[in-house]
Amino acid sequence: MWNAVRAIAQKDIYTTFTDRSLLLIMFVTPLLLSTIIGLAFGGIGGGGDLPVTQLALVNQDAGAELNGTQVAYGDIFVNVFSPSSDDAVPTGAVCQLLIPDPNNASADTGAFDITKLIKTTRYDTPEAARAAVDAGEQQVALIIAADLTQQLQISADSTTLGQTQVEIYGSPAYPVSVSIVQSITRSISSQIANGSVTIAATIQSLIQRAQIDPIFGLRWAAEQAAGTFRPDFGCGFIPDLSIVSIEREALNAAQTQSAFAQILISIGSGQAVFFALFTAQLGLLSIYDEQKQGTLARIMAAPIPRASILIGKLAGNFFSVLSQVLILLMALTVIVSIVEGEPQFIWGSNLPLVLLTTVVLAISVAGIGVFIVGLARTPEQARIMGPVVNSTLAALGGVFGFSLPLFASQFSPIYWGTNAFTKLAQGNPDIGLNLIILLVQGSVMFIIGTWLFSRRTDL
Amino acid sequence: MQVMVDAKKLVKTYNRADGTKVQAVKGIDLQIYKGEIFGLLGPNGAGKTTTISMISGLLAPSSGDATIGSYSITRQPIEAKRLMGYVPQEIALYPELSARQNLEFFGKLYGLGGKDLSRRVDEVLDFIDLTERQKDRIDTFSGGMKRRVNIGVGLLHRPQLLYMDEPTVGIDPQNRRRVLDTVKRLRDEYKMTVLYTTHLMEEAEELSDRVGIIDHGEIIALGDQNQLKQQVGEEDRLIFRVDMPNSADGLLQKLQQVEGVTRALYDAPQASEKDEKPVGKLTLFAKRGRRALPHLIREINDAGIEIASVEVREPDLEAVFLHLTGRALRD
Repeated sequence: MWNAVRAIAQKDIYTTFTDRSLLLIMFVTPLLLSTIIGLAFGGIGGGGDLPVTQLALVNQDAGAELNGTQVAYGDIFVNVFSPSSDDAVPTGAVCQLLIPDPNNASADTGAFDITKLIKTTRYDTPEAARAAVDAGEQQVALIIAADLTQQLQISADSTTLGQTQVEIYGSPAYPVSVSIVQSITRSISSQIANGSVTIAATIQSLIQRAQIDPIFGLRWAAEQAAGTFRPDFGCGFIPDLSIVSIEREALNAAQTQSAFAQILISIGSGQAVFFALFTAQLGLLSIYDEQKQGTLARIMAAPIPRASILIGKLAGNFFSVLSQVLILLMALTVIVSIVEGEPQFIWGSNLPLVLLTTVVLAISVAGIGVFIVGLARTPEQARIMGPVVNSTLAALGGVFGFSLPLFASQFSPIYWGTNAFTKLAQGNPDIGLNLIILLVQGSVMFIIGTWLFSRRTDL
Repeated sequence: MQVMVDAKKLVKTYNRADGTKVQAVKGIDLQIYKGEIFGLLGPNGAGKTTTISMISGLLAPSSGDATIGSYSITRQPIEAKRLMGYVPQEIALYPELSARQNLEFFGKLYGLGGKDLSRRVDEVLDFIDLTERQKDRIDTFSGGMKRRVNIGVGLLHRPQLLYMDEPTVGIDPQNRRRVLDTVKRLRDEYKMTVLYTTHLMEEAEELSDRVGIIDHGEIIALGDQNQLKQQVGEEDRLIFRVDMPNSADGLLQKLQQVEGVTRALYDAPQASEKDEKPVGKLTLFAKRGRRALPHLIREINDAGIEIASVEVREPDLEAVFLHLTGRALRD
């Protein structure tokens, strides 16, 4: 029996992977779509109308005193993400790169109108911001730690950067939005680190000048005492003026990857699952094709149990889906490596979990495939139902670049799959719930679908 | 003689969409002996394929059973199927695979593997004369070559019994001759039992040691060719192509009164025929037909009917079918 199962499965895998038009659907299309979306939203492509990101912003930064001056780097984030906010602090004309000109947002001054890209709502607590994301009211939450300025402060007394955290709590249903916020946050944090060193160097030079020039020293001391010394440190945050190159510290593990890579992780894995759904259905529909061309009757005339035919078909289908997803994941890594110009593995360092997730996802996808084909009364019906169901699951899972509320997304295995891959890519192994949901949903559909299908095909 | 296939009261009933039932096969009893070619002859839709499908285990009979060797096809299907090869009517091959890949795939289903499979595939490719083209995809083959591979698949595991369901449908005369010669070789050289279905009387006559004539799901005649032909006696068939009015009962009665004539049948011209002038077919059964021929021609001429052609046929399986059913095999 098992020799027959293996022969049938091998034959199906061979015919699947030698069908050029099928290969086009299985591999070329998802890779092309993922790359285009990745380049448009996260890489060298740029341009186009970006979706508006709903950002929940929590600024807990308590600030710190820098040589008698109160500084709060958290305000820089507020300035960038919420320029019209009441507590947005103007930092001077030289900082136009970061602060939009509300009267001339589109002027070619190097400024851009971030309000067209991000709609920011301020929240008081991290819990409230995260809850808003969970409820689908917001797409991303940006939570600035209370010790941000304190840790990044450099003064005459302290010349090292501390460790701090800017938390980005994003909905996996909005990968593009999360990538945009991550990208801007990374840029700001880098500039803060550089700027902090610049400010320290500036103060050091002021001290040295005061020691050489007593008149300057007396005037500086008088202004400090009167509280009128307000130097414009905005220029310290202009990248071109960074006088010291420092190694960028990751605020979050995810930020070690580029926006392009991050988009390919979520969109690419979603596309992989989406197109694997078609493979699963087409694979099973091949039984009807075999019925038509007479090969099924010929197989049934062989001295093998009928169950082995069905098991062979299902096994071939499962391994085709598994191979497709694995190949697509590898290909996405290769694409990111080529675009980024350096070899990298985008799915995180936990290879066993990546493989386990792929296997569980293949079970889920194969389960949906069997269920749809089993549910349909005729192959024609299955050929209509399949794309409708697949597209719905893809839309719910955020594959097409727009997203639906989280509670809706959670109905799609694509959501749970991309969520798991995104977590693994970020170095977060907490994907137990994802795997359980995918496995249970896939197994139940697989069993029901197989029962229905075996009745319809008399196998 | 040793019995290879023993079918007893095989019935197949289908449910129609309107809820009524139709019996495609109505209690067939059939014995096929080891080493013979048994021809199952009947018009399209007579129940040949349904019968062969039940005997080969593809269709479960509604009632009745068949044994292959000593194995029941309903109770011991795996054992029974090991003894048989199956050559379906259509080309049941994977067009995207090569001839060799097709043979290897089906060989594995019959339990062959490793060197044994490879050797057997080589032998079969040699037997069907396709060794040179073994690596080419099936969809690049001609109809005749596909037919040969189709037969080759059925021979892979050296079956004792081979079912061949109308294996010459849709191929040219040259390839048809090749198939018929192959079937004879299987019996003569390999001592194989062959169950061969056809609606072509000439094929059944050329190949079959014994013939079963099936019509409307029933075996209406069974035996060797001489036994069957005796059913129509020594009667010749005289076939006239004539331009005759649809209603010519009077002439038919006159013709039946000619000496030696036992029966007269008339098939009116079909509306769909593309002849310039549609002609009907007048068939007369007569002992010593050649002697009756001048009298018959005179009677027809006297009736003012134009004769397009005349053909005299000695007793054959077509005549047997016509005799038993009143219809021609190709009707």
